[in-house]
Amino acid sequence: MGCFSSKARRKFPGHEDPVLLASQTAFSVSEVEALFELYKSISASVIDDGLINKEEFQLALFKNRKRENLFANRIFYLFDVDRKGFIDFGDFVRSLNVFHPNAPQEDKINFTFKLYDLDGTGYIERQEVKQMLIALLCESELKLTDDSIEIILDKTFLEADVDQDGKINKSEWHNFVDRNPSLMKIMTLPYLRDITTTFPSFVFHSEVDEIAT
Amino acid sequence: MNNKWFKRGFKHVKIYIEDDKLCSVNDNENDDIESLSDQSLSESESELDTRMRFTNLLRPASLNAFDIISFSRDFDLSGLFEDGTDGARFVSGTHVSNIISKLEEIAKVVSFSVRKKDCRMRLEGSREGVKGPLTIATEIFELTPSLRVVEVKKKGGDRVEYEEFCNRELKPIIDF
Repeated sequence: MGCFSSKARRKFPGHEDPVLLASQTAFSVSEVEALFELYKSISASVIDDGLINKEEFQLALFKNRKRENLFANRIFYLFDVDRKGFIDFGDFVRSLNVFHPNAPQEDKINFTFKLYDLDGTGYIERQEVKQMLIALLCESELKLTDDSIEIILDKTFLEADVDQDGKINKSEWHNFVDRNPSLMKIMTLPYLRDITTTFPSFVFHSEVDEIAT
Repeated sequence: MNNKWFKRGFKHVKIYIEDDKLCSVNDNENDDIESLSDQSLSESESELDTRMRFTNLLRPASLNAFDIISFSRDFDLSGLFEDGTDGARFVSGTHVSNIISKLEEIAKVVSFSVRKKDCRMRLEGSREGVKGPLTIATEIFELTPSLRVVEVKKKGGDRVEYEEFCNRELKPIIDF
């Protein structure tokens, strides 16, 4: 049960043993296999090399690969765990795992902290928040004046930046999220709890069954 | 429900059935009905209404910068799994009650039924399509003391019909 088709391994350099991945995550073996089906289609969409590059990731998320932007980059950056420039299957499953409803809240909070800490200094600075706000406003129909933006930033930092040093550190972020749990809404994909039945468009194809026959 | 006195032991619940599943109006987090406390389930609708009358009904939840940032479709990984129902958001400088009246007006014009609670509304059409009647949920948030954000989401029905509705009925009066 622990082996898988070597044919899969050759075509997908990033492929990992589903049983191993299942043991490290909240997914069951069959859910990992369902994710593999999804992974296969995403990784082949632009370059059929078994790996997900940034274009393919954007295409999968927004059906529009030209949409290069701040947030897409951040998410891709975090999914690409070893900064290889692409997402392999292990990255894919382990990263999606953080979004699983059963994943520890701690992991979700840490993920968002890294997400918003744009320059990776270990702090979420006011300037970074402003940059993200502006990026969001550019992509949406929301129009806000500079003044409104400053008011919103003031309000946010008044609450979050307890020591008032102009930046939010990890523990301040944890406290802030505790008081504003809706901020973690984006970190849970309820779909992940039941992938194998939620996505009838998958041709569910168990490698384990294949070997048995 | 901003008054602490009412918050103790009280969980604001409104139950309806959607997609063959019991849901609560606070269902943005996709809570299951099992996660609600027993106390709230035993509270009747009329008791809820009575309580609500004693509180400031139209105090929308306040948004901070990170709330707004998380509006980004790019943070919504559900795009990996489905078509994704886009939420449209509009900024308004008028009072919450004004916004609600405008939405009710629109609903009247297109003969949609309206269900509302606090700053949330649900508009439902009667025309059955393949995917059921067009159902739209709206919610009003406070952005700054002088600005409100109205969030509009399709909860059921055909996507094309939803987009037509937004373009034909909502956008023209968007300046509120």
